[in-house]
Parts: sequence; structure tokens; C-alpha cells
Amino acid sequence: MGDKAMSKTIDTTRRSFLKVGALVAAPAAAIGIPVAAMAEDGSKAALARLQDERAIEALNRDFLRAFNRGGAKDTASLFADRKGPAFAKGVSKLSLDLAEEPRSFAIAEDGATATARYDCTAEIADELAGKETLVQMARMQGNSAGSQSARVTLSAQYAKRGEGWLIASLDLA
Amino acid sequence: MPSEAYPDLPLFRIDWTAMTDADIGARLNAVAAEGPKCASRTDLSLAGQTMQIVCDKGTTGVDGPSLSYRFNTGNRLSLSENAGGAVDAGYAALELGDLTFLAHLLPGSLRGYAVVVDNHTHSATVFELWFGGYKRKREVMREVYQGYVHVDGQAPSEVRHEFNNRLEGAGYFWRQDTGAETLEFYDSIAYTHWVELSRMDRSQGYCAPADYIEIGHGKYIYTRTECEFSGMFTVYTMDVNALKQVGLRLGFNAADELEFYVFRGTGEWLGQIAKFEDFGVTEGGPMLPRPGPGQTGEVDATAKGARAVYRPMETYATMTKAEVDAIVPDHTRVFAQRVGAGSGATGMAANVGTPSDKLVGKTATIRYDGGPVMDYEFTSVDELRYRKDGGAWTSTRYHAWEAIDDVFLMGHVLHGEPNHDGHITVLDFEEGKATCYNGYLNTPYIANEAGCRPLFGKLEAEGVPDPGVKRHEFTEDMLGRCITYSYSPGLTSMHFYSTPSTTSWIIFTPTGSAGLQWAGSGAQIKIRDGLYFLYWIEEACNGTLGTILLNLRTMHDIGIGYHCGTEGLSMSPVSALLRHAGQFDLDRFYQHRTRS
Repeated sequence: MGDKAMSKTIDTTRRSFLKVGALVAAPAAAIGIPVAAMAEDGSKAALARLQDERAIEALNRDFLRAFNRGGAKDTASLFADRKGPAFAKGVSKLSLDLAEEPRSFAIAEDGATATARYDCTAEIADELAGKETLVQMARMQGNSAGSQSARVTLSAQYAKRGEGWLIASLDLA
Repeated sequence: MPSEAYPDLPLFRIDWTAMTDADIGARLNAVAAEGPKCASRTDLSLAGQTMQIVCDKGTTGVDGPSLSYRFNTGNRLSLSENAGGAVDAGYAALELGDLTFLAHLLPGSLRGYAVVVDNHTHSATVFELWFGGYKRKREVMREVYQGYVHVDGQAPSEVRHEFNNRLEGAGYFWRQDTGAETLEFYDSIAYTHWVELSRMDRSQGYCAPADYIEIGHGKYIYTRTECEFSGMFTVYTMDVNALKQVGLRLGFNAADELEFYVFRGTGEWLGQIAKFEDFGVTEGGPMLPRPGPGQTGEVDATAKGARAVYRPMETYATMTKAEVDAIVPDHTRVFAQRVGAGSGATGMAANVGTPSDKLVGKTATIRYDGGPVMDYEFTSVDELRYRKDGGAWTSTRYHAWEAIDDVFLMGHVLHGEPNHDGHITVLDFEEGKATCYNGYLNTPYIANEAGCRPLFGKLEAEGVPDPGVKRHEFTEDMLGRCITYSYSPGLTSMHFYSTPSTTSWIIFTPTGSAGLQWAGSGAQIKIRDGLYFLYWIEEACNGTLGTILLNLRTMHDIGIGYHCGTEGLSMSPVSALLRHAGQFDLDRFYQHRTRS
């Protein structure tokens, strides 16, 4: 992402993701943090950043669920350009262990963009051969002649828009 | 447009009118204020009541509506959608135990609702209906929402009706209060197969996308949209223990008459076939559109009402007689060598055995009743010489497979025939019989769609007995049977023989659920106990004549496909490993109907 080079970014870790989960799940008052104090010592900004991380986590979950259920086309609404990812032919399923730490994760200082890299498992399907009716129907419902699993790196770029975080691009390598 | 509502034509041969919004709107407006008709008494108990239904997101993720009903009388209501202005409409309600089914249109629109409420749990399923179609407006679309009925002073019900596979594999005979009788099979998680017993001549079964929703305690909801045909929508809720149903039929028949009525019905259980998901798995439909033939780039999987619908004509390259006649002479492939992906029927030929060499050196004559007379000399495993009715000898490529001792399936084309005939023949050297599925092209509807002429005759060869007048015969042994055919990894289909002349095929998903389904016409002929010679034509689909010689003792088959497309005419072998999935009890619906 071009923005990455120009923006100051703040790296985070999986540990902070997990911490955020606890923080966001409970209102600040409930865990005994005075709101005024948060504002004064910069915690408010930190909380906003942690909320961004959590929103991106949720976006990732939505993407995986939609992709594995209906393919790239089903994920279009999660993308800033309303188009799904252009993965190589045959990628039929992605497994991302959400409890694992991302290989890298950074949110731009202006809070408008983010980048991440994840290790994940891709299921790559072998296309059914033939033109027969049965084959066409089988392909249409997602059948394949077989599949192989491969460990790949998912590189993601995110953009924050009025409606929240969206995926700007996704690449598998 | 035919003048009859249910003409004596298969549904896939009817020239369905492309109705416009104005056509449809005018007809709906004429009845929307009155509500649906009903041949029996309706439930008037909603009169004077109000009902607010709060819906979850729909099957495609679209937001569900909030519906505020005021039932002014037993057949007039006003509806406010999402707290908007109220619209008056006619309605009809029917009760089924704890369930209330109601349906109505919305005047001034092409929309309406069908609602099933469980009055015990205050749960509801809402079908938003509209005439919108894929390409033809007459096709009724539906989005399905689960939700609850708001009850003052009570927490919202957490009970929801559920899409699942609990009905998968069941079949029922239903008789409506209108007199309509159908055989209905829930043989997929997302599709259904049905046979019209009273509205049509019961010879052909059809397939359509369906919804299957469990309410609980033996109560379910089923929908069917007759996509690719009339676009008619049927929804009913049923109690499978009491064998009762109440529902709605909405849409335009072949005469473009609006059918808009609610019905009661009584049923009979026809049986249950096997399921092939892992034990305990209850996941069901609907199947959402995925990239694939007929859908790529054209259907947004997140659009309201979207689901996987097999639309065979979208992928069928039809040809004229001139195009067929031009391409076939120089582009005919009979049992071509298949090497590599994309070379032909690789996926369906993976289980084909080596062609038999037992015919090599033999000569035979087949005298079909009413002709023709075919003389054969089998010169090699791949080549034979034939002459028809005493004409000139012609060499051609063939293959034959021995299904049981001395019974072979053989296929070859006949060169120079005006309709590019092919003979797919069972040669029964043990009993001296021969039966041929004579495929041909230039059929009346689509020139490159195959037709089939079953031919029965006697086989004359050295040492072969004379069968006299005995022949292989049409059979109803296969009626109601479901057989799975595993061609290769990822490609398992199930045949369902729902009438003596219907073959339906259902494709299993990667997780073993029965998925997309279609059907064609055909025939079933008995060669021996447990050995059957079947054909079907993929009409208005891709035009293939499919044949198989099916051995129930070995649960294996050998078959030959005869197909013409833009690449030319081909004959290809197919073979699969079989499982018997069960048999529906259909005999009583076809008694006295066995063909002579």
C-alpha cells in the first residue's frame, strides 16, 4: 500500500489483540478506569486504536466465513471497492487461526489505514474436468476433483471508511 | 402461449410468455384487495387482532422487515412494513395445530408475503415474495426470514425455525382440497422433484429449487419455485405425523392465468431414502450462488432472494439443423482416446473398463421389430463393419463392454444417415435378443438435442438360440429407486427414477448432501433380474442421450453418451461405482400404466 511508506505506523502484537478483547468487552467504567483520566493520559486514543484492532479482527472473521461459504464473490461487501479478492484459481478455502499472532500488524498513525500479514492454510481445489451436465452442476455447487492444503501468507491492507473498516486488498503468496 | 393452463407438453417444451411488470401488476391488482381463494374453509380467528413480527436477517444477509399486521376482518388486513404507512390487502389464513399460515399480496405492487407463525413458541418464518425472476419477471422470487411474534410484556422469543436437512430423502403424495395431486420428493437439501398426477399426465417428473425449514415436532415448511418453467411458487407448512399441509400457490400457469390460492391437503408417506452426510450432520440449505455455469458474474450472492439455481439453458449452445449437418460429417468422435484434463468425459469415464475383445471375429445379424436389419462383422476391438437393410458395408469405430457373461453393451454411429444416428445396443448372445437405443439428431425443438428410438429385436449368430417372439421388455422394477453413481472424486450423482419414463439426477456436495438436481425423460428396460438398460435425454439442458447398462448385483454400470455440440458429434463411455440409496413406494400410482 502506498500509504504505508508515507504514514507513520504503530505496530501491535497478538498479545495486544487479546488484551483488547477483554477491554472492549467491558465498559471502561465497569473496570474502574475514570473516563476523564483516560482522556488526560492518552488512553482514549489507545482505546480507539484497540477498538480498530478489534474491528479488523471481526472483519477478518466475516471475510473467512463468507469466502469459505460462497467464494470470493460473497465477500465483495467487505471490500472498499466492493469487489472480492482476485486469488489464484482453485483457492477454495482459507483457514486462519485467529488465536495466533499475525506475522505483522500495523495501523497508520492517522488511523485511516492498516496492514497485516497472516500465516494461513489455503485449500487449493483441482477443477473437475469435462463439459457434461453433471460436471457443470458439480462445479456450480463448489465440488472439485480433490484438493491440497498449503501454508501461505495472507497480506491484507485495510481502509477505514465512514461505515467502518473495510478490506482494501488481499493477496496470497 | 398455450391456451391451456396445463397443456399436454413437458414443462421444458412450453414457450413461457415473457410477462412484463405491467402484465403482472394488472393481474395482481385485480385480486390483491380480495386475497387468495381457498377451496375449503379458512381460519377467521385473526379478525380483530394485531400481530407484530420482528424478523432477523434473511438467508442472504439482507435486513429482515418488521411487519405490523392489523387484521380488520377474517380476510382483510392492513400491514405496516418497518413502521411505514399501512397498506390494506386481502388475505387468507389457515390453521394447522399450533401453526397459523397466512398469505397476501400488497396492492399496487408486485409483492406479497406468506407467513408461518408457531403460536406456541411465538416464532415465525416470513417469506417475502415478489415477481422479479432471473430473466423472466413471471418467476416468483423469495427471501426467507426467521423471526418472532412480539408479545406485549414478554421477552422476545428466542425460538427460531431452522433450515436443515431433516426432510432430506423423504417423499410424500399430497392431495390438495383443489383436487390437485402430486408426488413430491425432498431428495436434496436445496432442490425438490415432483410429479404432477392430476394437472398433467404423470409421465414426467420435474425439478426446482426448494427451501426446507424445520419448525419442530414433525412440522416443517417447504417451498418450491418452478424456475426455468412457469416460475410458479408453492409454499406449505406440513405436519408429517398428521400428514396434513396448508399452503399457498402463487404464479402464472401456461395460459398466463394467475393462480393465487391457499390450500389444505392430506398426504401419504412414500418412504425415506438414505442420506450421505456424516452421521449426525443436520446442515441444510439453501445453497447460495457460487461462481459457475449460468451464474458467473450475473447473480450477486448477497442480493435479496439469491440462491443457487441450475439454469441449464444458460449453458446450452443450441444449433440449427444446417449447423448440425455441416459439422457432424467431419467432426464425429466415437470413443476417442481421452488424455489429459479437458479432453472429454474424463471425470465420468474414470471407472470405464477395457473394451471387450470377445466379439472380435464374430458375425451377427440383428432383426429389429419393424426394422432395420443390421448385419455386423466385428473385425477388431475398435472396428466393426455393418450394413443396414442389406445395403453397402461400412467400417466404423465401436467399443463394446461385457456386462455379464454373453451380454454386451455396444455403441457406434451410422454414417451418412440424414439425422446422424447412433446405435447403443445390448447384444444378448445368451438369449438371442438385442435392444437398441437409437439416438438421432435434428429433433423438432433443438437440432443438436438428441432423440431416442428404443428398438427391440432378435440377435442371430452362430450358436445363439432363437427367442421367438420374446424380447427384452420395458420394466417398472426401477420405479422409485435411487442409485448413486460415483464417477470420480468430487463427482457423485444420484439417479432417481420417479416415473417409468423419468430419470432425475442429483449432484452431491463435497459434504455428502444432495444438492443441485435436474431431470429428463427416458425409459427403463429389463435385460435380466438385476440388469437394466436405461436411457434419458437431457432435454432443454445439453441435449445428451445418456444410456447405462446397470448391474444391481455388482453395483457397477457401463454406459454410453451420445452428444452433439459445437465441437461435433461424440459417443463417450461412462461408468461409476454404485450404491443403492433406497426406493420410494410408487407402484400404486402407475398400475395399469406399463407400456406394451
